[in-house]
Amino acid sequence: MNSLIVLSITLPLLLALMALFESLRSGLIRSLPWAVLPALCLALLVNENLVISLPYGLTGVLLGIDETRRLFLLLATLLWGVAGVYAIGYLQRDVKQWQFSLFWLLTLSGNLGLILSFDALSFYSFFALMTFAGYGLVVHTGSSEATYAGRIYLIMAMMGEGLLLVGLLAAVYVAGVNPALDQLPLAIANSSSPVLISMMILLGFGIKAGLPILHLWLPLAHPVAPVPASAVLSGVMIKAGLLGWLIFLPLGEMSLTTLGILVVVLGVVAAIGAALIGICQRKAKTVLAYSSISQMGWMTMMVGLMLLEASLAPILIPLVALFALHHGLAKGALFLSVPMNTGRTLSWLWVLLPAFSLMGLPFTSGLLVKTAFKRETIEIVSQHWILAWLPGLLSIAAIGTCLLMFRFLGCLTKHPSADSIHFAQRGSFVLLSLLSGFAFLGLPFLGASVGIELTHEVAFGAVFPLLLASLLFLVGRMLGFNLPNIPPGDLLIPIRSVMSHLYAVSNDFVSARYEVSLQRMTLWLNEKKTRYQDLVAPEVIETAMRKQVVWIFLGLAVSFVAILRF
Amino acid sequence: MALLAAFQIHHYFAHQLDLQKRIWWRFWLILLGLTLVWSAGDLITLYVAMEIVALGVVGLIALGDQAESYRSALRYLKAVLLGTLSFLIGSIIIWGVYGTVSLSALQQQIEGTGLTGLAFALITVGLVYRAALFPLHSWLPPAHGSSHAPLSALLSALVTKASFYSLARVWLDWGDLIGSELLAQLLGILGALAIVWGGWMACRQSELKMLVAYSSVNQVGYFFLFFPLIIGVSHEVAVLAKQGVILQVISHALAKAALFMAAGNLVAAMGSKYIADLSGMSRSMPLSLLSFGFAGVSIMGLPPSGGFLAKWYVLQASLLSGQWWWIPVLILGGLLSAAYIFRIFSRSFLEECSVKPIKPVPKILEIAPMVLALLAVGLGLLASTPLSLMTIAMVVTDGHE
Amino acid sequence: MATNSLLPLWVLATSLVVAFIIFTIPEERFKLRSFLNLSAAVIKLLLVMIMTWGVFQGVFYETHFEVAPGLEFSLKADPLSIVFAGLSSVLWLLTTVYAIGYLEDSPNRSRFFGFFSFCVASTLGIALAGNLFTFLLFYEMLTLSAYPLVVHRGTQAALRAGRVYLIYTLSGGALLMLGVVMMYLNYGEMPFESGGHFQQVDVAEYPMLGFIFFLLIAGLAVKAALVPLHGWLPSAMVAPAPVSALLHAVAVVKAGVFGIVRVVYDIFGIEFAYMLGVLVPLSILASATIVYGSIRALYQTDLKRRLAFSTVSQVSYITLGITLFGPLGTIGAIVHLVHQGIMKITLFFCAGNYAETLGIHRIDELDGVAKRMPWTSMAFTMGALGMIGLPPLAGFISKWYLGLGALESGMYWVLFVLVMSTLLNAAYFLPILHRIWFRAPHPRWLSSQPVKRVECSWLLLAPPLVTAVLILLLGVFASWPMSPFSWAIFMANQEYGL
Repeated sequence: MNSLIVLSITLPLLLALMALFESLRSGLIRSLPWAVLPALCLALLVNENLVISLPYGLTGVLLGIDETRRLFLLLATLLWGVAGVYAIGYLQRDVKQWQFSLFWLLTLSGNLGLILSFDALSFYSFFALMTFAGYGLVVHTGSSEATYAGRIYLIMAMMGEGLLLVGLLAAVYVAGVNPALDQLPLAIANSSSPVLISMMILLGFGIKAGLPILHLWLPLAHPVAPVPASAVLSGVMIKAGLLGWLIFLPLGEMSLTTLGILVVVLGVVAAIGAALIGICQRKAKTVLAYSSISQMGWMTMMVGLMLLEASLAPILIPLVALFALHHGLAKGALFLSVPMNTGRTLSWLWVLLPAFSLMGLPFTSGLLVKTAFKRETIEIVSQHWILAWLPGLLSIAAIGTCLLMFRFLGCLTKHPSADSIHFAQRGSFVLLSLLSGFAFLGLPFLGASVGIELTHEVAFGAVFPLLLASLLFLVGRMLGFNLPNIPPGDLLIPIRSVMSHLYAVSNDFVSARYEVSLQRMTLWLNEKKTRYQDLVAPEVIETAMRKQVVWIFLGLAVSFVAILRF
Repeated sequence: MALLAAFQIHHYFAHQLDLQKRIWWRFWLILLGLTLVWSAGDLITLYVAMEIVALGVVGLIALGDQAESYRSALRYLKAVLLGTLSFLIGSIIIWGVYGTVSLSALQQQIEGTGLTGLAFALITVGLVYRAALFPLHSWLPPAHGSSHAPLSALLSALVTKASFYSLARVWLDWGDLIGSELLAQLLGILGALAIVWGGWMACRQSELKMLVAYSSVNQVGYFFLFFPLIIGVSHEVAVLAKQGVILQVISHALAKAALFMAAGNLVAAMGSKYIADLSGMSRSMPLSLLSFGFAGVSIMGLPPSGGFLAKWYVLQASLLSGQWWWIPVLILGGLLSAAYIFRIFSRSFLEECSVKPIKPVPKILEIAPMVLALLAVGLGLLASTPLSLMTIAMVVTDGHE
Repeated sequence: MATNSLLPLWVLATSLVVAFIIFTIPEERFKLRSFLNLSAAVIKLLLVMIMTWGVFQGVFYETHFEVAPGLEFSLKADPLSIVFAGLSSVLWLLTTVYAIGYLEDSPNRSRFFGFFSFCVASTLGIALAGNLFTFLLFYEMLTLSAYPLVVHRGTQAALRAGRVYLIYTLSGGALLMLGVVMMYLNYGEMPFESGGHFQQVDVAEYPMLGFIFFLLIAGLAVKAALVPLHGWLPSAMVAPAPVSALLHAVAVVKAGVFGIVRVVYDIFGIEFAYMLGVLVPLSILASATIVYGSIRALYQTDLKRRLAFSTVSQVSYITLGITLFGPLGTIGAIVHLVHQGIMKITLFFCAGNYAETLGIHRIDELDGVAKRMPWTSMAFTMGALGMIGLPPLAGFISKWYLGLGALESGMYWVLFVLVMSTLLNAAYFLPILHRIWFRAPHPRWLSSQPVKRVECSWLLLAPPLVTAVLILLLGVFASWPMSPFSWAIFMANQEYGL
């Protein structure tokens, strides 16, 4: 078991080493699906919770697996594996495919590693590995958009790293040097400033999880990557932030009312705001990216509720993990579908399956998690009057999700059709699409595990947003309502212009002052120099001394005598 | 010291045999004089000894091949005569008052009357002139700069020391009785000025040997910081100051001799006396430059050289006596010395120039400066021997008192 | 016992003797010189390893004799000196290999390698110095022996840089000497002892000690390149790459920082320094340097200049760590002493490789250079990411402990400095990495494909690769018992009596 855990993380790294040798590079891409194999075995076959310790690593590495991590690991391995197969087909004509595979493997290792980490340093290390190797995936195409998106991605990622550093430092410090991760929440709860530490952690992981305002990089970076990379970016890697929250925040240990409400509000803003901006997008992948932000908003709300009310944590944590699994598979499948438009009817079925799941229609995993979530909110709403609007907003968010899906399907029809599609691509897409709709088969027993049954009420609640959304869509269509064209990265554009303006102004200011003072200084120096040259040179003094030596001599003698008499 | 100088002279003038003959008697004359100075017990012997040295030196300086060396020899003669004359008058006054010129006898009898004071002042000024303290230093650079390199080495290393030694003896014996703190301070201030002025002038010279000569002016200044630190201070400070000055004298002698010899080699090799022509020399004359560098370490007062330890003691002495104003002088002096020493180096490391043909210098000429320079540097690590010798001597004198 | 007491001397002698021999070797005897250099480096490394093992076992190594009454020359090996001596001997070996490759067919090699050995001997002397006096001795020796290396190229620019270097370091040396003299005068012999000498000292002495502390630190700060005394470092980057590497990673800059470590821990004692109230001003200075250096680095277009300003910033991490009162900060500082050296030397090796193989000096010429020199670029990437402090690389371990130290000492604003510096480091390193790996290559590189199988001479390639691997290993396996990190913990426990 122990070696399986280590192997899960190191196998992708070892495969990545193949890139060092030119002769092995061409075959590298075929290894992508295999790289997740040990981790998949771990997720499926190992039922016990275990932690192993590697004392020489970092400041003492702990790796292990528990229930929450198992769900995340399952998501990661499924999506990475399927997308890996897809990549073999998608990149078959790409000359730089070995480079893509290299970054893919590194990112994969980081992602699996962070899921399996049980100590803060290795979590952070793998998080960083995933983030920075992910840059290689984002800029892979080398287009100017990709480069730009990559830059924004890096800038935001670095800011995240910085915030995270502070948050983790504080968290680890209050728990004693190098604690196991499961002790952290309690230690933070007992520390003197749990709110501050929690806030740092929220913000640090928030960049990855696409919290509002911190999301700016996301709609830029996710769409520009090659399709399989987009799928894992939006499907799994975005969840690393969520996992971070679940692991580090003092969920279930204490209730932080204000912070909780703030996080819930942020989640709502993300869920609705991203949907609003998303339906104004022109490209299928960008719509999907906004949809991811919107869905992450849901998960953020759940985290907020747990912060708000510690007692909710035992119920909501598995639910969030399940939500993540559901969203990851569905979003992955949707991304993979983007270049699959061959005009055949059958392929539409495979696209609709995950889309429906995301909308939360009956018989899907979406219905399961969303219903369960709504049920939990009812209770909390009664306790905090300030959250009374939450159920209503949740419905609006659900409508938004549906509208986003319409928009996506609309964009998809306009997407240029691919001439030929590799069988690996097609096969993997279908597989993932099926997986994402696994609730068709799994609902009875999964539903029972979270206490949800498909009653008429529930079904209606699930279909209602879809109906309303269809109505809105049709009305909008009939009225010929034109959506505003909001460029991807929304707020980034005004922020950038403000920043560049500020920069220009300050630069002008500084350089003007600098120039003036430089000129003054030069003038002053020149003046000094000429004055100095006018002075008698030391050599002249020296000669004069030589001539006056007798006088100096006598003067000295007299002054000596004078001093002695004095 | 003298042995190495002799060695050097021998090889330096190997091709000018007749000149060599003329050098030797003067050389021995100087040595004789110096030995006399070191062992002199009364003022008149001191006077005679110094005259002997002066005679030899004038001869040596005049040996330079240009008219200029005659001029500087004459100037030196003038200085020497003026200085010794003043010394002689002072001694005569002393003799007239106390009827004896024996230093040890005088130590018991002397007292601070006006006439004695005059005599003391005359002796001091005379010796100061001969030791080339600022502002009476102007004879030194041309004299040292224009004579032959090994001779300059000898002059600089030993001859100025003779005057300083005499002055130190006189002051050590009588200083407490008739000297005054103010006078000592004045000497110290003159020393400080010498340090700064000598260093500054050295930085401005365009000729290699003149630079080294001005460096002597700069270094002599350090000696005179000795006086304010032995007069009117605690015994502890005086011991520190004595240790410092002894080390300074020894290491300066060694280092300056090495500098002059190395400079002589360089001048001979490049066939020009100007610093500007040094460029690229680091390739052709590495050994001479290296000895120049080692000697320079001592001149700058950087560890582990003797110059460093000397500075260390003087710093301690001035701190302990509360005369903190010497500290900036010492630091500034060190930096100025670094400035002029490194002028040579930065020029010789310059590669952006056409490499001029150089006259080869026999390897054997490069050995003596190296040995001297290494000694000067090593003195810092092996200082306990000379210092313990000195301590014994001091114990003896103290017991005597 | 005899060998124990002579071992430190032998460690010094290996390079000192070689220095003198090399001066006398004629310019053309390339093989003999290389052989001498390498064998000396290997022997020294072995000796240091023996000593490390000995110190680990609790053996006491000391050489001392009296220079003058009250002045002792003393060399000894304690854990801190082992850290520095180990670092310098390992990096010296690598740099020697590199320098042999770098200076192939260039003039004045005897001089270069002679002073090179001198420089290392002084560094080792600094590491092993057993008291303040001996430290001062080697400190100044280092100042002088590094000068010929800085001006080695002999161009006008190099000489100007040399002058700047001298003005700064000699002035600093003078202040240091003054401080040492005052220390000796007032408090006698000053051996380095963990815990310092001033546990029981009267409050009336505090102003005096504060002044001495100021002098000592001001003197050392010149070499440690603390703002505003850092000016010499960026201009000294005109030196050949191996020299810059040595200067920035081991010898000169580190000597200054190491001195600060010694003064704070082993002369004043951290607890006394804390009581004296000198730590906070020093930490503010260090923080200012960190931020200032990074900002300046951002605006440099010359690769080596950018690296130089990065050194200004990074080295102050160490000073910052020292000033954080508490074992965690100490661990961070000591670890960074080693890690920064290894990372910076990698970067300079790589910069040298680019310059030597393709003539690249400016950053905008680096576009796509990874296509032509992938291995060098990999090493550079490793160094740069380590500098930013990305986990799990070496730089992260030290940054992490500095952060913990900041929390421990309650100086929360230091966290802000660390984050700021991380971001700035990223801001000036990541664009370079982007250029190297993701930009379209310059047509010139592609036309100049290497003749041999490897991208450049092995002598130039092997050292950065070794150090790059070290960066990774020191981070990933930080807790290995003999790693610098474990040593630092060992030392911190000693210093704080845990």
